[in-house]
This record gives sequence, C-alpha cells and structure tokens, in this order.
Amino acid sequence: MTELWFALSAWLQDLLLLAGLLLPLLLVGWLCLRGYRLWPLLGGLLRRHAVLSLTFTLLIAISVGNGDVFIAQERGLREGSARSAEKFDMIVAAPGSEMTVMLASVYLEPTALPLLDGEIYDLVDSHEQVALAAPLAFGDSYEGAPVVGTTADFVEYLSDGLASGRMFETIEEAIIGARVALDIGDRFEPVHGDGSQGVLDEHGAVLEVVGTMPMTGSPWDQAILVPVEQVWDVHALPIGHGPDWDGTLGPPFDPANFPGTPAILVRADTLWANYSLRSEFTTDRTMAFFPGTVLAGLHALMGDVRQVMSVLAVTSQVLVAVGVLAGLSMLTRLLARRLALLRALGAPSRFIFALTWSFATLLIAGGAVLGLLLGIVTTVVISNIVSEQTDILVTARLGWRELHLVAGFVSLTGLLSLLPAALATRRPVEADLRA
Amino acid sequence: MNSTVPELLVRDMQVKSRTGRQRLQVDALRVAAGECLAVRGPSGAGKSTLLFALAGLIPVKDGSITWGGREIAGTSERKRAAFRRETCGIVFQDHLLFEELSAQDNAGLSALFAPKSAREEIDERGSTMLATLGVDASDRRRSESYSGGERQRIAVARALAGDPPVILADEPTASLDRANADRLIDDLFGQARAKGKTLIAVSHDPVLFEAADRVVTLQDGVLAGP
Repeated sequence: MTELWFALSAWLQDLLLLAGLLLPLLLVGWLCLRGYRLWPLLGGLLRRHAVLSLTFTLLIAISVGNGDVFIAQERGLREGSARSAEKFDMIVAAPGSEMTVMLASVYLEPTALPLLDGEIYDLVDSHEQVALAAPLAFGDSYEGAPVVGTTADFVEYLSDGLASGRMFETIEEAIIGARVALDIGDRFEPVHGDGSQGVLDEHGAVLEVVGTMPMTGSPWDQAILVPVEQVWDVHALPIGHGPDWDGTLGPPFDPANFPGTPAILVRADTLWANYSLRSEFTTDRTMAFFPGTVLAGLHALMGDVRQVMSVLAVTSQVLVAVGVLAGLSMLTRLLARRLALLRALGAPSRFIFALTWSFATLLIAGGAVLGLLLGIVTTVVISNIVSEQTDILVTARLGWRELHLVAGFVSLTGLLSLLPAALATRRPVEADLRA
Repeated sequence: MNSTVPELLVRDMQVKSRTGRQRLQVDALRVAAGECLAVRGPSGAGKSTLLFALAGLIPVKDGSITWGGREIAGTSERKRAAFRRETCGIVFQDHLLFEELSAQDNAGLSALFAPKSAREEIDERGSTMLATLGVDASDRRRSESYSGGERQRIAVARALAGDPPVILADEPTASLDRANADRLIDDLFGQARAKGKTLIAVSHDPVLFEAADRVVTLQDGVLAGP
C-alpha cells in the first residue's frame, strides 16, 4: 500500500489527500441530505438572517485567510531567499559570523566586514580545485543601489549571460541589475556609503553603464556591478595590479598590491571538491562556509516557527469555528419555532438535522472559500510588498498545503456542526410552538 | 397521503407536565370519520394541549389515541412524525409561515421532505388551494407582504396541500378580524366537508362553533362533553 502511494505522482497524492480530507464531510453530507429538498428553506434562512450569516462567514474567512497567508508567505520567503543564494556555493571571509557575511555578500545588506589580504586571495584563486574566486567589494552606492566591485567572471556566472549590452572592460564602466533605474549609456557618480548614514561622500568618479543583467529575483537586481579595481581606485587604494599592469581587468591580482576584500565567492570545479575546499580554507585567518547550509539552518528555525504558527493558525480557526458553532446553537434557538413548525408538519428528525447542519456547514464552507480567495489576494499583495522591501523576489502562492489545511478545517468544523444539529432535533416541539 | 379518513378514538388519555402535574384528562372521545368537531373552553383549559396530543406533538404515555386503528400514544417521535406526515394537516393560531418564502413555497412546504414521487403533486395541490382560497400567489412575493387574513389562508393551503384526511386547527380565527375570520371558517369547513375530511378545531369563536357538527368543552384540563 505504501509502495503504491509513493508510486503516485505528487500532484495525484495531493489531490487524493484533499479528497480524503473532504470525504468525511461529503459522506456525512450525503447521508444527511439525501432525499430532501433543502435549498428553498436554506435560501430563506440565509435571507432572513443575512447579517448574522455574513458576520459568521466573514469571521471564518478572515481566520482561514490569515492562516493561509502566513503559511504561503513563509514558504515564498523561504523559496525566494534560497533562490537568491543558489549561485553562492561557498564564501570565504575573515573569521566571524557566517550569518553576517552571508547577509552582506548574498543579500547585500550593508555591513562593515574585516578584509582578507592579497596573500589569502591568491591562495584561494590559485587552488587547483577552484573554478572561480571572485572578490566582492562593498561600500559604495548610487541612489540607494549598492555598488559592488567584482570580476567579469562573477558577473557572467551570476547573470548566466547579460540581458543586454556588454561586459565592463575599463574601470569607468559598470553593469546594472535588472531593477536599477539606469539605462545603457547612462553615466552616474557613485558615492561612499549606502545612504543610511546621512551625508554621502562623492568620489568624483563617473561611470558609464555598458550592460544589464537579466532578472535574478535576488537583491543583486538592485545592484550596480563594477570592476573591483574601480572600487579600490576611488578609495585611493592600490588597484590589485603591479606597475606593469596592462589594463586588463580581473585576476590574476598582485598580492602585494591587493588592498583587501571582505569576501570571496568560491566555486569549485566539482561539487565534491567544495567540502575539501571548505575544510582547507577554514583556518585561523579565514572562514569558509556554504551559504546554503547557513540558510538551511535559518529555514529550519523558520520551519519550527512555522510549525508553531501553523498550530496557532489552526487553533485560531478552530476557536473561530467553535465561536461560530456556539453562535449557531443560539441561532438554532432563534429558529426553534420554525423547526418546531416543520416537525408539526411531519418533517422527520433527519430533515431538521439536515437543515440545521447544512445551514451551519454552508456558512463554514462559504467562509472557507471566501477565506481562500482572500488569502490569494492578500498573499499576492504582501508578496509584492515584501519583494519591494527586501529585493528578494517572493512569489508566494497558495498551494496544496493551504488547500489541505482549509479542507481539514471545513471537514472538522462540518463534523463539529453535527452537535448543534443534533441538539436542534431534541428540542421540545410543543414548547417551541407555543414560544 | 392516506386517502382513508380515519375515526378518532381516545381512551383514558392523560397528559402530565414534567413535574407530574396533570394537564389534560380525556376519559373518552370519539370523532367519526368526516366529522367536524369544535373544542371550546376558557383560556388555559387545555384546548391546544388536546390538539397537540391528538397530533402526536406531545408524547402521551397514559391512555390511548387511535386514528383509524393506528395507535399514536406511547409511540416514538419517528412514528408520530410519520403519522402527521401521512394523516394530519395543522393550522396554527398565528399562521406560522416562513415569512421570507413565497405563498407557494409555504403552501408546498411539506414537499421538501416528502418522497420525490409526491413532491410535484403537493406543489400543484398547494397552488390549487391558494387559488381556491383566493390568495394571489402569481408574483411569488414574500409571505410577510400578505395581510393577516391572507396569511392564515396560506396556512390553510399548506395544511391541505398534502391532502390529509384529518385537519387540526388551533384557534384558527384568533388573530383575524370578523370578516376574515368568517371567510376562513367558510374555507376551512367548506374544504373539510367537500372532501369528507375530519376536522377538529379548538377555538373561542362562537361562529366557528356554529359551523361545527359537534362542540365539546374542556374545563380545567378535563373534557366535559357537549
């Protein structure tokens, strides 16, 4: 049986799980409603108690929507942050906090980091298993867009090929991320700092945009990439090459004229080599780590929080549902005379049961569907806001998990509604008729 | 619906409250098939209780209530509901309509839980009864928009839609003015007699008593006879 289950496609498994979650409700519904024509009375009840019904439905919708949005958003943020880090196999930096270095180098969060010297860079770059060793120099910006000094190889690797234009060839040229508000041919003057410190110091260097990267869905879409030599140059540092430099950008750099880099992106020539490189570059002067591993740890933490929040979301939904059921029990009292009339006319107890239950379940299911729609809209809106604020493309969408959650909620509360429905059949007919 | 009009026989029936207080005692009552009986008595005498007991709306443990040989005292709610469905049409004092539904929907209310095969017939008969009783239901407006007299006639149409052999009416004219009350009495008794149905109506209305074949009196929960 287990083998058969795992042989099914994920889509089919999700679909079957959804059907399984709804099955108890559908079964109870069929058993209750079969043979009866309830809609005229249900429609009448909904019209007569429109405000109350709408209030119950909205309460459930908000509760369901909230839970769905949280789960979808958390998943979207996790996927977005993972997508942003997927090009960063390994980072070598000065010993310290891996998280801080990751935030600075992958997510371009402005942070002051200690520098690695030329000797270390040379050691990394010249290692036989290293395919790419890109220095990353931060600290400048242009109208809020971080200016990052690096190499052409890194730009090529990060962008998988430019979207338009060409690679920088001189230190006065720059490549822009897809969301930078500049065009090819534009000239701009980077300033020192990221703008958060108040007054900005202009370096006096004017750069020209010569190429654009495609959208990566990462904070690098908002970045301006320049030759690392340019960053060193405007800060009046040696530019990484000796006196006989012919003007060719990028490695090899001269260790004696290498002013330092806060981080080096390292890509091994084979996957397994990453582990030996991490081991080799973890010394008393350097720290090597996989951003993916750090992110996985962060996601694990988020996963724990998500579990707690999921439980809280479900709890809040159940509490709302219990509140609604309590309300429905009260509503049943309001309906008592009408239900008694139906019984006086000879309606079987099952009809009274079916009417009360289907009224409750209609509100719950309606609220859940409305909550799903609300969740979809809210998720898209929040995703756009988060993407705008973090530069991480968050494409949160409601998925099977949310559908399962809602189906479970509807099924559970639908079954709970059997209780007020059963109570409605046990009311004294004579007393209710005389009420 | 059962087309055979049953005879009612009540013997040694007692209805007690939860605390054990006696609410109603009927030593013997016989209502012939097709008879129109009126029950009178002061308020609180137990008239409605008698009607509810005869309809099986109150569980009666002591005594016997048989409709055409069918015992309903001491039987389960399920059996009593089936009895009402098959045998009784009930008219209440204050219409008791689903106000948000149309006159037609109210008249055909019992079709909602009737077997599928009977639904169309009930709906059609409800419409016919509305027309017969002079209720214009063509615009399908809500029942709450009708006058008191019209609403009570809708209630009568509902009671007759299932073509029950027995009609039980609980103070059917109490909430109506004289003109509407007179019309309702004519309609109710006219329909019952035209189709040979048994009618039992409890009332304070002397005009209704005049329309009945026989009048019995309830005093302090005891049926004293005419």
